[in-house]
Amino acid sequence: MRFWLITLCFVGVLIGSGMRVAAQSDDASLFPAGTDYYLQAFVEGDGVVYVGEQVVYVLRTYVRDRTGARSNIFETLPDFDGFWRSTALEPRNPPVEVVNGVQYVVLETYVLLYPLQSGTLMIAPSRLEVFETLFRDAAEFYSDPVTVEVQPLPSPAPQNFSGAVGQFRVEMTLEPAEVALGEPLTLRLTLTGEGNLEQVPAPSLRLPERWRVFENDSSARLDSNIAGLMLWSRQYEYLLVPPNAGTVQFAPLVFVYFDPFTEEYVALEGSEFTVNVFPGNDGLLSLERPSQQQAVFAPELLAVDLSATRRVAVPSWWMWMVMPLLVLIAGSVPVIRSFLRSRLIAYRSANALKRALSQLETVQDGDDYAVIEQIILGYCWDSLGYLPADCTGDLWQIISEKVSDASMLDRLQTFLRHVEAVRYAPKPMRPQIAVLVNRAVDLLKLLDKQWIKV
Amino acid sequence: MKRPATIFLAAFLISVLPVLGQQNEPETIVQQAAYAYAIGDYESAIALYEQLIATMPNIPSLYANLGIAYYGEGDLGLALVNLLRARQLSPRMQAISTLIAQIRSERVDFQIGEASYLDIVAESVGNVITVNEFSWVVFAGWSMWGGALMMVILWAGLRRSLRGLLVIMGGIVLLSVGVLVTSMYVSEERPRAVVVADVVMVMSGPGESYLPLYRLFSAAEMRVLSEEGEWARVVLPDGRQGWIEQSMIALV
Repeated sequence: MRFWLITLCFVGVLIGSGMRVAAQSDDASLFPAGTDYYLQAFVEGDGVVYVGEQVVYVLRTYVRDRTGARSNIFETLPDFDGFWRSTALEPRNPPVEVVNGVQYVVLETYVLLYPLQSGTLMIAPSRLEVFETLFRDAAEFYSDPVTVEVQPLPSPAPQNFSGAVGQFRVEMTLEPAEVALGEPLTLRLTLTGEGNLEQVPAPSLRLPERWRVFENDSSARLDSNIAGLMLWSRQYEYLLVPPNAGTVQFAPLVFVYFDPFTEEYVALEGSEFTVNVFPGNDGLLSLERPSQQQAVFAPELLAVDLSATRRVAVPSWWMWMVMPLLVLIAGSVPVIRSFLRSRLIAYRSANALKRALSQLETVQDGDDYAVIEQIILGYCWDSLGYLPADCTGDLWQIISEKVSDASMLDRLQTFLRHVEAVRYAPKPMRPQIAVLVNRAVDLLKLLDKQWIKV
Repeated sequence: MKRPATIFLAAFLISVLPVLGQQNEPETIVQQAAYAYAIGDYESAIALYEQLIATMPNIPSLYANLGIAYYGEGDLGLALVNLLRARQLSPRMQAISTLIAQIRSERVDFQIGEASYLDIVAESVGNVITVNEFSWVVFAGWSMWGGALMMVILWAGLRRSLRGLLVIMGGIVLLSVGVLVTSMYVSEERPRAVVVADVVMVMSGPGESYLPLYRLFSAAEMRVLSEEGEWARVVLPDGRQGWIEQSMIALV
């Protein structure tokens, strides 16, 4: 029995820890009934702060969806003009609230803000965009704007005021306590507290004269403790190199900040330290050069050439255009050449018959019969679209592909063979050239009608 | 007879000597400045070099010597500004680079590198060649590439043999043009500046009423992004930004 009671209690604890606590909201009057989404924005506290004081902007998104998923929604935070915006935090386990009898998952976003100037600052509304799904249309919701009254810090501020506003703690360590000349010491300074530590410069170190300082590392971290406070922790690490052997007393570090709760400037003092610096291995007591030696290492002046007064000028803009223009012209040459060639071919082809006939008219007795052959062949090449320089290849093969009547090729070849034969015939047996010319004219006119037009 | 000759000679000397003196004046000032530096009178040396720079603003050695004089006086900020100006005019002068490195090692703020890739590109080019000289180099490459392109267009027989070369040349030219444009943009829109005050507080906005962010010491370097009234928005090599009073910095 006892075993089952214990088991039941254990299971009850397990179930209880897994459940979200459903709270009744006090904001029912501000919440329209029946809505699936609602956006509420406010700042923690009474909304009256000092310049630099930490302000927590809270954005609460009420989602009626049981899963409370963020996949269907997109929240856009405002620009926070007038504020330095720091980290934004989203708690992992969003709470559940019941408003007007309806259960909502409350998605919260906390943004740390630090006002940069005094006056009434307005934080613009945040936006919630709901994506379209099978069950609902897309929609947009806006929160109300939030007003923050920012008071200026009391003046006059102490001379060594760091700019920090909040409540802080200082811890400082310096180790080792004993070093040899030339070896470094490590100084670690940790500032912790709630406030604008993120923006505050590193406190100035009150070091002995002529000690060299090298900033080794610095880090900043934001923690949240059980009370829900946002605590900053900044750690600085320095390497210090003492210039001389001896015992050195470190003056305590002073960190002055403004506490908005007490409304007073507070000066925190760090620890005092004493460091023993032993002489170096070879008995060296100081790392510094004597002043006489410093003059030796003073840089020498450079020789001055007063003639080099002119400065090289940049190439003018139009000079850059010359080469592209030339390339353009060069590129257009083949295009123009091709265009002119095609025009010439077309012209020669269109006027081939006219030119051949006019050439035949000029043939007279006594001329070589070969002229007729040349005129006919020239007519053929022109009609086929070949320039004289391109007249290569088998003319008869080309003609056979370009005439509609295949017998024309035979007639042409026969006539040309006849002309060739007449050339070598004895003179008395040769016909008058005019006869051949007339036959050539008839043949050309007939052939001109047979070309296949493309 | 002697009297007119004497009068003539005197008149001639009176008219010529000022001209001669004027011609030798810059050399004289240079010598005076060098002497002042040698005896440790840095203030006089600075004044004399500034007088020379006012009339001859393109001589790198004058800026370098002015920077050296400021260094002797202990003003790291103004020393660095003038040495950087000298390097801008003559990037290949090793002595200037050595002096700049020396000052950077002595200043309080430890800074290395540049804030953005554009600045890195511009700085890399600026360490070797001035922007104006580089523009001529790019122009020469651009013209050569255009000429090769023209040859390939006009003589088809060269196409196969020059095609690869054209592509490589084209890539190099385009890259060079990009680098040149970057250098010119950075020098115009993101000029380098140096802190010339002993200590300056960097604010979160252009005014004393904004929050102080961090301190910078003399000879700290930055680039100016914009200006508003008496304040300038700057970016440090480590990427931090802020606003500084313009009277506390000097543009290179």
